Amino acid sequence: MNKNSGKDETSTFVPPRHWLGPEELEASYWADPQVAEKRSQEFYEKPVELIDAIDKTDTQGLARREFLTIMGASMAMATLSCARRPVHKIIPHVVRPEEVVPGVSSYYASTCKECSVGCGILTKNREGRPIKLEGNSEHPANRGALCAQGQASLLNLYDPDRLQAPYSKSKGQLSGTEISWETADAQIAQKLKASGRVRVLTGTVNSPSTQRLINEFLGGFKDGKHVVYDPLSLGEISDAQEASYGTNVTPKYYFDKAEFVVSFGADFLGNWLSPVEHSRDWGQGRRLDSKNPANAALRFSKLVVFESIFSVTGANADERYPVRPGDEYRLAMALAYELIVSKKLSRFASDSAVIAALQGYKPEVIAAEIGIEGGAEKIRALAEQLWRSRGKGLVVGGGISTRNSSAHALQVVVNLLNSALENEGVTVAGAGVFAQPGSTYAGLAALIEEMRAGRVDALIVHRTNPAFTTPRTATGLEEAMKKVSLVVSVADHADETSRFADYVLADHHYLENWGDGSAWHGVYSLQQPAIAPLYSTRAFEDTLIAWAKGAQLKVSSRLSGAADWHAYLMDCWNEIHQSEHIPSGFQQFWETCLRDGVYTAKANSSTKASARAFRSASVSALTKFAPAAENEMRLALYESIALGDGTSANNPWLQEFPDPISSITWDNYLNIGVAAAKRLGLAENDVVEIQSADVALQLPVHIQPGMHPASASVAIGYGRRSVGKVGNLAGVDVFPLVKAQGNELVYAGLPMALTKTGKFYKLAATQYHTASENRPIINDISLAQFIKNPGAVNETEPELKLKEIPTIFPRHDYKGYRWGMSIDLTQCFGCGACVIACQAENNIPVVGREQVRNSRQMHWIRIDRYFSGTPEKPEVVFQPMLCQHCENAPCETVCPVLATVHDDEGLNVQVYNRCVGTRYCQNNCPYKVRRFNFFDHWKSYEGSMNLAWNPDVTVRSRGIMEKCTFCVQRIRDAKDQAKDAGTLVEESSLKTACQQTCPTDAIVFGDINNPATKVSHRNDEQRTFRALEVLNTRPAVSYMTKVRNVERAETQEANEAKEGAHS
Amino acid sequence: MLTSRSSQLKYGIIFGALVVVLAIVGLMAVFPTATNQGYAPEQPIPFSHRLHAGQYKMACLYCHSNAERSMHATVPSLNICMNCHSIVKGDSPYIQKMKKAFAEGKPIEWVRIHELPDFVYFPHKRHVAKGVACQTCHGPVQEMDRVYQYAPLTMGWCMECHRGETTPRNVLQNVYPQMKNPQGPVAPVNCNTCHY
Repeated sequence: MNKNSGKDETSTFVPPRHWLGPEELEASYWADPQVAEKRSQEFYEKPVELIDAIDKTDTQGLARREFLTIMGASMAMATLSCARRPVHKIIPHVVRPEEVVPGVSSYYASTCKECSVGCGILTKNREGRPIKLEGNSEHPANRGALCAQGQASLLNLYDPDRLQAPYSKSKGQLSGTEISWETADAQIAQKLKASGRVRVLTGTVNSPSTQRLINEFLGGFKDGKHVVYDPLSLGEISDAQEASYGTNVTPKYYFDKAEFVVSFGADFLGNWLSPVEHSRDWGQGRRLDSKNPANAALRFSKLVVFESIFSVTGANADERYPVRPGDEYRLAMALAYELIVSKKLSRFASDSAVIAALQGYKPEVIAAEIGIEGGAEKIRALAEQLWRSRGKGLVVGGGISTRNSSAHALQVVVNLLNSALENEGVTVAGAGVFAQPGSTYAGLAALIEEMRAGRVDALIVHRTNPAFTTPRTATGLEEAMKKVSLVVSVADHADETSRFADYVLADHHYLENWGDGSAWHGVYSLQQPAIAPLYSTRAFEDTLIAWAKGAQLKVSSRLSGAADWHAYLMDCWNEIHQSEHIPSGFQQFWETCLRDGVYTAKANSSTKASARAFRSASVSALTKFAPAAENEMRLALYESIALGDGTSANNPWLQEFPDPISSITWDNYLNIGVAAAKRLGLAENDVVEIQSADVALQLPVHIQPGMHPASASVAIGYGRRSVGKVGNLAGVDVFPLVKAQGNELVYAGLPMALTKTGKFYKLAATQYHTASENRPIINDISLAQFIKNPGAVNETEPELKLKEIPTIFPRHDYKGYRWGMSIDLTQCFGCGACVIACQAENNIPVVGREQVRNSRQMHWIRIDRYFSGTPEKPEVVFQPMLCQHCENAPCETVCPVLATVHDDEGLNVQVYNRCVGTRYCQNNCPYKVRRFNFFDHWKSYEGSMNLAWNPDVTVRSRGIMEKCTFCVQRIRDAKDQAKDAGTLVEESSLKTACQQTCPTDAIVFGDINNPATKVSHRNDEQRTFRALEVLNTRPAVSYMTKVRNVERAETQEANEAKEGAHS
Repeated sequence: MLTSRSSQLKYGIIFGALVVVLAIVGLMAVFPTATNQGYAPEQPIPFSHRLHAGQYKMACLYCHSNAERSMHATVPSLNICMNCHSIVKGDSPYIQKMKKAFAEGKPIEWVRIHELPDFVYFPHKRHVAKGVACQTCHGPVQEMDRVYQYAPLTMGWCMECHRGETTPRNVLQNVYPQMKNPQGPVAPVNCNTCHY
């Protein structure tokens, strides 16, 4: 296989089949003795600097060892002298609330407000504080799953940098004088009373009741208007829907019904519209059954992606084509041309308006211009495949990285394609659409114009931060805000926009507030406070109600009569209760909804989507766009999986979350393809200056395989200036690069010049931290191979599949339960929600950028990303790697103090109180999943952050080893409940944190001694293998081979070629 | 074999270390304060278990009701005290202190007596469910005016019971109902039974 890579220089160099970075494909990399040494070492980095520091310290002539001995002895004496522990107090409730039992968790249904989707969540509460968020399985959008950002939003609640009280100040200043809510209300209400032209500027509001409240509040003014600005909202989709179908909506997409999906830059698995819902659906369409492999051909969808960045969706594409930013539109047009004009297919073949609009987009012309792999032939083949799967296909497009001047046009073509392919009404529907249509920059642009002209008396900003998320100087926002006599910012941090406010009012975190949400029409979810407000904060909605009363506005009786936001919300739900004709009383309806967290309207379940008529005029209205000159570098901005638009940049879990594709933490960087880097003479970590229009920024370079040679990309949301200790100046703010072009903001296809600065910046990447000696650890096969032989894993990577190995050690005897896990690599798409879920559940600390560089990150589960193929056109496999709970665990045999031992249910146990930190176990672990506490990382949690700890898991201190426990506290809890009921643990009642949050159910956990469990079923499948089985560790975690829906004629030849190279 | 001065020194150090360790172990045996056994701090209100649990024979679980529901037995909230003391013995200065705290909504801060290290998870619930009497670990509380720590609460002491060596007979019978003279281990002794 590939173990011989480059070691024997006389043999032909065979690059590894799966590689971490493009350098591994070069023989010279393996020939480098430094690399060889580093890779053969057990640890990526040694704990040298501390010892060096001690060595360098002048300890008055004592050698280091003597110094340590003496230190040890004095420590021992110090402990002996005070055996009495400190006095601790027990402080019980004065009156214990009925539902609170100290030590027992309670769950409350609520709605996640981290992004604009509004997934249903359950908050796990202990002693009155939320300690973990989980998806609500009743909610039809996320169905129990939650994304990484949603999981991490818990920590935002306990952020010590949150605004803790309202304050008034002068514009331009960041700090001011704290005032009471009464004073603030009185002063603001008085000013509002004198104001006629009032604007409320918010982010996307996905709460119907809040929306109604804002509207009713503004109705009390002579000229009141609500403006929405959300950089992540895909307003171009709703605009194009209006142009094509006449309704301004964000349609609903059914990825589970689609057999063939083509995406033009839409990262629907990562962060496009409703990623958790989409990935859950998409996973449904890619289930495999080894017992009936032939069925797979019918049930296994195919995904083709054209994109300018490397997104999570692109990484999961069966076919992925890197394009230059902005070329997505012309490709889509070429596809439509081929389908409608060349092949004369679909009902648009006779539509002269459409045909006229498509002129000039001949696949030959476009392919030559764009330089797509496979050329016009590929576009033709794609058109044919799309036509074959018409009515069962889906074309999607859009996202920040496609947002250039053709963003709207791209959506119109996407609509045209879906209508032509009869997907409209089946996989994409205008019924049951998102509750809020998307918003564009146009609204804010108009507002800025109004403010500049002095036509706004009062501006109220809530949950949007345009002073950060727009190119500020270009839009003139800051100057415009100075011209408004009253600017109130209702925010959770003293953010960039608050700087230009007269009053900054501290807002609740969503877990402290009442509210509701609507993922799509007819689905209502409730949001309830899971904790009393930590600080002197108040809900935005209560603030509006107070002002409506204080300023004696002429508003609706619902608003003027509402005692508070809670009462107003109940009033709104009373309307749902009435319109739905629910026989039971309102109180009962309300309590049921509060318990379930979600209510689905009756009408919604019966609505059948039907195809809408496409208006050909929308295509005719499109203008033609000139192509960029060849090889001219174009820049695309994108939103990262971790940070989005940077709202939660002060969340250390998200900052330390390794990007699924680049595995880089804590920073943003310029992604450049391998060929481009070679051409420009750039290496990883070089700092370059990019010049786009009149803005110049310095950014470190990351060399990303699979980028178009003339494309570069960088993530937005980093480099906040005013959010808190964690997020301030982490990374570089690239919003100034965004081009303000009249009513739109251009994020993609920006021309740029690039100069090397000669400086270096070491990105905190986790890429090589776990690189081993390049043993095969993962496998992927094509669907054809799977259908032919579901156990193809035995043949393609034989070392992964060694059945029985004779052993002299006695086997463990598991009499009761034996816990095991199975991870389906076909389903895992690398979103990383499990990483954050595990972090929240298991009290995993954050170590900071510097320690990540030293390979000391603490995540118990990590997502290893492997590339295969060429650096220009790589394929990706994601492998979640966690403690394998080996039966023959190499770690157990080397621990000198028996701190890591095997229990009788198959768990590999780490006993913190026994561990003395020799790190032998980490040394001996072939999976590199053990994490060592080099420092008391828990001390970095300040004040209120300590409330986020899970009391069921020990907080580890310095000098001890830790690793995945299979969520043993959850096993305990499930067993406890089963014992109460006198039964065995039911599979459904026990889920590990990673499994619980997985949107595609890639992770399954349970008792492998019981043949009826899901995990046992999976282990029986032929696709199952175990990582490094060749070492005879006998892991309790099994993996299922990744299957790609790709015709791979070359596989056979490649194998033969490989064998030829070996002989 | 060649014995150099330095290796003699080495053996000397090892021997010396052994002596120190033994001395520490010996000291801990002589002075059980290291385990806190017998610790009987003064409480803000001199609540007498002898009176309540002994003389009036109130069930332990009346006040410590969470012991059968939760990991923690918990000290009762003041409203439990007020169940009786809103009527009973209102003239006592301590009851008045308690009533004042209740009226003001200020909890009483009791001094914790039984405390396991942070890395130990001891579920009261499972032990109560198996029929372990409170007194097995907490001693004759019904005779205590001021509660003290009765048992050493060391890991070895826990293990003796889990292995079935010091287990109360009724618990053994619960675990081995078919045996006439039940004996054997009664609970798991995996590390992660208590440490995780």
